[in-house]
Amino acid sequence: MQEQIKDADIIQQVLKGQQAVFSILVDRYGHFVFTIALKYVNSREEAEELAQDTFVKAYRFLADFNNKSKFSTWLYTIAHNTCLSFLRKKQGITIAADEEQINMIAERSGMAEQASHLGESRSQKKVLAEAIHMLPPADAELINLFYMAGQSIEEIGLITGMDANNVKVKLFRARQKLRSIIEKYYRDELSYL
Amino acid sequence: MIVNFIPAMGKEEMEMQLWSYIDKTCSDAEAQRIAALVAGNKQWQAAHQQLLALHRTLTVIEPGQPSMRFSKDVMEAISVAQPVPASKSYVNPWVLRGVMAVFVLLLAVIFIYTLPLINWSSAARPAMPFRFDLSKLDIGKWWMAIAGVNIVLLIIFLDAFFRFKTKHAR
Repeated sequence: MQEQIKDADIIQQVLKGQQAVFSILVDRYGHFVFTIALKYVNSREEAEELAQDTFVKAYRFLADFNNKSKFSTWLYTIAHNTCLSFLRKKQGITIAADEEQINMIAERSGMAEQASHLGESRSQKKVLAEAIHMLPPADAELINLFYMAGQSIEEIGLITGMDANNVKVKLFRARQKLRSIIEKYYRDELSYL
Repeated sequence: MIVNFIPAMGKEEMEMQLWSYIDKTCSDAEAQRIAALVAGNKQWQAAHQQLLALHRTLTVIEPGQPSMRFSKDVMEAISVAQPVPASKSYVNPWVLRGVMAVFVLLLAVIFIYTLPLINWSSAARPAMPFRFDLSKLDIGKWWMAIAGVNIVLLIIFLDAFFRFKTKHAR
């Protein structure tokens, strides 16, 4: 029933003071925002905090949402910026993007070790999710936004602040890296790729 | 048949084009050309199959699930959050237009001042057709004018800011 209410209608109701209606948006997009955050931090707790911050910011600045883009695109832009700010404050890092760093990230997250001990059968979705998690955060985010969150190249450009051609090239590179990871660690389970 | 005469292409370039085709981000003409290549060239066909398999797998990935309490926690945090009024309600567009007008005016003045200094008949120095005589420019006077305008804008901005603060403090 909730799914049939348009985002724009919900936003109008929230702006009129019906705060509780905002929970529909939280339920609708919470897992997407959480997944974006999870690409930037290794703990679920931190990812939930970042996702929560994203929704609080979205609620506070809802009056500034101008309906020119989809609400989801606007929300993911907030999520993206919230995650980057968090990382800058926490580590002062630049996001890893080099192909050579894939192994380092994989080792850091313990995925390489897990991958070498794959004995029991696991769902391909889970295996693929693990492979994506081994990507540098920026690449994983692109793949998630495009495939999971259903954002177009142009919308991803709005979210990440890149132009559409740049998004296209970066998405291409992200998929190349993902194929390398699958080839290296998940060849048996995703052999058809 | 045409596909047999395509120029040799790097694997990366081929894959880039195939992804555009799969993602439907290329033009119709481009899509037709790639479709013909896929249909008539074994190398393209094999690469297309491989990328399509990855694409289909990726389309079914599922988002992570936050904890059961997540929605409740968010709503609790929101209950104490203060919504911020739309920025257009407190950013006076006339102030922005005023700032823009000042800059446009400044550029226009510089342009008008510079124009008569250009030596149109000089063929000796085509790379530098005019000389900008800085001694003619009274920097002190200009500086005072710009500073004066900025002070006025600052007063307007502070006035708008304090009005906004007073309005929301009530």
